[in-house]
Amino acid sequence: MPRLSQEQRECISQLQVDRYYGDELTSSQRAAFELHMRGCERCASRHDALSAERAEFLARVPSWRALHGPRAAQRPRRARWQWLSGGLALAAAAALMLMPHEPSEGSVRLKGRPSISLFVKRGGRVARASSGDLFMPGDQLRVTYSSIHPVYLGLLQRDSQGVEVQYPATADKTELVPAGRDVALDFSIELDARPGVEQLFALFCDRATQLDPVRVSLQRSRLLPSVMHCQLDEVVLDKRVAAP
Amino acid sequence: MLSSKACEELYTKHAPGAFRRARRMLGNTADADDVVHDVFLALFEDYARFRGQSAVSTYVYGAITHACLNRLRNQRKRRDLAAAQFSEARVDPGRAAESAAMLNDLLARLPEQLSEVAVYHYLDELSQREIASLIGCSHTHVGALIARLTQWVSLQEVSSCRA
Repeated sequence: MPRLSQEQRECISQLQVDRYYGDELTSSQRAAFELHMRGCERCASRHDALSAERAEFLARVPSWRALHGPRAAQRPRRARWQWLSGGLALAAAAALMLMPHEPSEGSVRLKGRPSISLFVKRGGRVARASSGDLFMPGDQLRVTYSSIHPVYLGLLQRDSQGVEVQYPATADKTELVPAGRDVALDFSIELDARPGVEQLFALFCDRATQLDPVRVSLQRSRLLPSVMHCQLDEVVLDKRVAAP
Repeated sequence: MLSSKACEELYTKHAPGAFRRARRMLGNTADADDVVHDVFLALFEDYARFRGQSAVSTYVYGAITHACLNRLRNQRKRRDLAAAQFSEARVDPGRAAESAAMLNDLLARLPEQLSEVAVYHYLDELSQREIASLIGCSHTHVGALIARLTQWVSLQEVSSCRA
């Protein structure tokens, strides 16, 4: 733990955090701020919480340019962009019922941690599915991911036969994918005839990460492993044979 | 007039912190979104006049505080919302409860300058030096204002005990 001077030992206020993000600290103030963060667990924890709040706000609220760019007719109010967000989200969902789309930089931002979602095709009908839903043999699954930042993604599947890496298909590490909402991965999974619970695990990493150690860990335990520099998401598939 | 890119950059840097403070003062996301939007719109529309007078964060702290206090006054919701704001404050529970009760009274009855200091002192937990930099006076004067606040609160506690 670094040794701190008296000034550096003083805990960080919210105003200092805001000035840090506003690029208003001098280089020496900035260095002292960062040194203090490395040496003070309380401030580091508060800083993490404030950073998460910042990310949540920026993910939730449309950018200023989206509100006031050339296409914004006049001064928008809250009701306008709430409607905009909802409308675009509904439109996106409707489009996805037909076909998962490619990544794009829209004006609607994403909220929270990166995640995966499922779309299931059954008998010609496509619908969004959730973790814990019932699935049937023959269902075709399309996996999509959502992330507010470009991220290194890996996807593993556990069934009764073991754990396999599903994405990327030809690499042994997580692969960089662009930011986007409900971005479809370029493969589908057809569920076989064996009933039981299956799991999909997604790793969202800030660097390329070897997937085989994760696969081996998941073979040994049903619990999600802790992987450095990665956030994990999981979807559970309860696969049952349809009643005759 | 600032370029769209410059507005976006300032908004991304400063709006999240502004929203955090507005939500804690107003107690709900929708009102906080409105206040943040209005404050930044005013800043960008009149940026030429503002430029150089202070750091952007100083302007935003003051503007958000005033806008939220005005909104609370207009809506006549200060007393019951103040407690809700403090329930979200990241301070220890004992101090939060004590501070919530104090702020409730302060915001309901204090004059403008003292209510502003109360927000910085109790809600934002800023140092006297930081408060001084925000409201543009000496930290000695801030100390005197906080002493007045404390004295006022003590008098209120005594009168409520007698009531």
